[in-house]
Amino acid sequence: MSPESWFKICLPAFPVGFIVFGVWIYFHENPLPLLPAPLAFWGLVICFYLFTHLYIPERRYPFVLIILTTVLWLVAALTSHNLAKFISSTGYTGPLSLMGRTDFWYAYICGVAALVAGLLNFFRYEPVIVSQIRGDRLAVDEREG
Amino acid sequence: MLYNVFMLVLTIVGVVGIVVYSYKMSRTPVYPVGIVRKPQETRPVVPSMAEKSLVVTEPKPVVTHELETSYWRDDMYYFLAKPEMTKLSHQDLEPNNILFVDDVPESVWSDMSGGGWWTCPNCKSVQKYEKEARCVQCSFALGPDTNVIIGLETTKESALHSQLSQHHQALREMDKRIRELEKESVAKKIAEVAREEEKRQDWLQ
Repeated sequence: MSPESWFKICLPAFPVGFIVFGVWIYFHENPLPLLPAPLAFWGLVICFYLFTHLYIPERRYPFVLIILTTVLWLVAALTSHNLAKFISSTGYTGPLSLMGRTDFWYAYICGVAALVAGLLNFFRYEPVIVSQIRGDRLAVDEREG
Repeated sequence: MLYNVFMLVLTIVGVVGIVVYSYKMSRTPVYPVGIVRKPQETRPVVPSMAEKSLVVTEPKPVVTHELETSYWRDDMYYFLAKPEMTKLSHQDLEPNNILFVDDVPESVWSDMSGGGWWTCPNCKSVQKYEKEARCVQCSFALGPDTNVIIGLETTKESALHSQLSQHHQALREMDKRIRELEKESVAKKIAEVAREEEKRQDWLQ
C-alpha cells in the first residue's frame, strides 16, 4: 500500500493511539472502558471514506454499512460508560473480573466488529480507488501541463 | 432488563447487518468515483450579424471589455488583426450614447472605420455611423434620447464573416501542423537515442 493509503487508514486511529499512549502508558490509568468507542469510530470513518469513493448502481450498500457501523458505535459508547462505572466501583478486582460483565462483551464485540468491517472493506476496495485517483491525477496534469 | 434487551437487539442487528451487507457489496459491481470532467466546450460560431440588431432605449456608455470573449483571445485574432485598425475609444461614441452590441469584437467595429451601420429612425435608410451622428439623407440628428436601430447590412457583414472564418481555419491548420511537427521531432529524437545506445553497447562489447 502506498503511504497515502496508510495515512487514510491511520488517521482515524489517532483516538485509539491517544488512549493507549496517553491514558494507559503515560497516565497509568485503565484504558479498558475508553477503548471500545474509538475502535468503533475508527471503523466508521473508514466506512465513510469508502462511501464517498464508491458507487454501486441502484444500491445503497455503503450507506447502509455506515448506518450499521454507527449503531455498533452507539452500543459500544453506551456499554463502555457502564463498564467505566463498574471499574470505578469496589466490584472491580482486575481485568478478569470484567469477563463476567455483559457490558464488557457488548462494548468490545461492537467496537471490534465495526473496526473489522471498516478494515476489511478498505483492503478490498482501496486498490480500485487508488487506480481511479491515479487516472484522475494524470488527466488533470495533462490538462494543466 | 429493557436496557439489556435493547443492547442485545442493537448488537445483533449491527453485527449481522454488517456481515450481510459486506457480503452483498462483494457480490455486486462496485465502481470508484472520481473527478467529473466537463464535456469539452465547442467554440461558438460567429453570430450572423444580419440577424442581430439592437434597439437602444436608454443612453448607455460603451464598455469595451464586454466585447472581449475568450475564444477571440484564444484564436489569436488580435495578432492577425490589421495593424492599421484603429480602435474606437469610449469618447467617440459617448456623446451620442449609442451602445452597440452583443458579441461583436471591438476590432471588427473598428474595421468599419469609425463605427457601425445604423438605420435612421426618420427615413429608415441604412448608413454608416459617423461621429456627428446625423442622417445623410434627411439630416435627422441623433440625440441622447433617440431610439436607434443598429445592425449590419448583409453584404458588408458577410465579407467580414468570411474573413473571420478564414482566419479561424488558418489558425486551426497551423495548430495541426505544429502538433504533427512536434510528434515527428519527438519520434526522430527517440530513434536517434536508441541508435546511439546500440552503437555504445556494440563498442563496449
